[in-house]
Amino acid sequence: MATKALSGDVFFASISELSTRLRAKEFSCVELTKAFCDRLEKIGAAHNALALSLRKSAIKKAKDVDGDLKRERTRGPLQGIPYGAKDLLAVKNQPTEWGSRAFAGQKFDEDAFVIKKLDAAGAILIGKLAMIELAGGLGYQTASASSTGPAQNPWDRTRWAGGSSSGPAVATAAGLVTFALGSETSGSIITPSAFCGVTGLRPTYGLVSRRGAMALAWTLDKIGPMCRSADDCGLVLHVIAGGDAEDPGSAKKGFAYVPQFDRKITDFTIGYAPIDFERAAPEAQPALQAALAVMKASGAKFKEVEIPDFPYGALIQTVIGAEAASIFEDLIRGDKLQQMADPSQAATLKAALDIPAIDYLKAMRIRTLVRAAFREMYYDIDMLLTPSRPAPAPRLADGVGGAQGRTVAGSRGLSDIIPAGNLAGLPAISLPCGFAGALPVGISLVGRPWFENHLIGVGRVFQEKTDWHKRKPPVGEA
Amino acid sequence: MKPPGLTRRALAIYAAPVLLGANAKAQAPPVPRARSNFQAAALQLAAVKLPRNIEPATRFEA
Repeated sequence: MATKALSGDVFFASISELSTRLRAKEFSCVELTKAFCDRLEKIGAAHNALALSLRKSAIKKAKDVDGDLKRERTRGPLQGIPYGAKDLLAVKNQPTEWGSRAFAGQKFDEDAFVIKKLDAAGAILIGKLAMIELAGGLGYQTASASSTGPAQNPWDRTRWAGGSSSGPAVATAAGLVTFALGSETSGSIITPSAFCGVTGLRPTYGLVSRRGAMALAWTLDKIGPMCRSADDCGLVLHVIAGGDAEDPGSAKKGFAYVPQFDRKITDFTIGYAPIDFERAAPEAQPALQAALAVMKASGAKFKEVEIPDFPYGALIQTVIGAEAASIFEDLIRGDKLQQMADPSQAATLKAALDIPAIDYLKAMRIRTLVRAAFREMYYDIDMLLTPSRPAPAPRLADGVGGAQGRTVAGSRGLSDIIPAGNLAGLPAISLPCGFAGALPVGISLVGRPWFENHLIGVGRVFQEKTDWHKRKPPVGEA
Repeated sequence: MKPPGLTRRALAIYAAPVLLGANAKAQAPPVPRARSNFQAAALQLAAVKLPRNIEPATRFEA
């Protein structure tokens, strides 16, 4: 019974589908967990997406869940669902190496806040997932900037998976976990989600506690779910969000996923810039234009907008550089810096020690204006719509900068929305919206702070009208 | 020249870590170049004129 039930579609089922089948006792949680561990250890390792298998502890936990389900002690839709976590999240007494040989063997004596929350909800952590070293905020040049090697895209292994949440994107896309936790400082959830064809949600700054997570830049870091659908993102965010007195960045707000109270899509005004779609790489344009047409046909009102004019690249570079140099000062001044896989990150970390305080303060003062400008922008619109990336995943050999769009003269559009949205702490969701050849393409909704439910709701409408999020990459069986 | 029996695709997959590692070292910017990148960013920030009463952001959501 179990072996047959666990083949094929189980690995690509949504959280709700899997939860229903677990409760119906089509298979036990132990059987499910073992089957996912087999896939993660084989396919995940082959794609350089696995940092550490947690098979033993996962099976122990799965036995507990089976006992609970037998006694009808239900804890919600995540109970018994296998998931993975980016290796920047601490798991008690297990190696947590932040994707870097410089931190090999590092262990913590407490789980990260989000891991505790998911544990309490009954979710099963089956592995730590690969990442670009130190979450890649210091200008890494190649996909191999990770102790686990370059993460291979499950849709085409000669392509990059994106970063820095590479492993979470690969594992979710390839059906090695049902969902994963990633993190974003500037683009690290949105980019790999788009490249691998998964639905990734970057929450509002301060909504999810970072306690027990590696800090890259205190004023920018966020943890979020990478899933198979917008609905799954809502279910996971419902569990991991919430105030935490021990995270100074916590807004001490909760989040309730309440799809039953969704506003109608016809109530929303969506801001977009046609030039963003013209600037996309030619091979990505059909998918992006088709996605725009689906959104427009859904009944939402559309308004052309332009991003407020600030030097977002310089701002994010200065803020991440100054904060990361302070956070990693011991590493920079010590003898382990040379163990970093990407020498350009090491050089940038060293140079960042010399960023003058006056430059950091200037960046943070401009950030005050950025926040105000986005608040004003959202008076007239509910969310922005833009390509997640202007091009599909680059070839591994081309380096991480190899996925560029076209140069088209005209307005600014929303082309800097990834650094801008992160500087302003805005939530965003990336939705798979088609393919450029064999490679996934994604479209993003970027919302007002604290309005994740609106993004998820519109994302759900899009995914009811399309099936791009249900496509399966050619990774084979474990 | 690729080894006999090894497809280009397999070579791209399995040789990538070695090739990319070597490539990264060759392209690595020295610290002075990284420093000049930060200085270039500072020049862009300096071009933004701020009223004196604008304080640094202490909240990070819009």
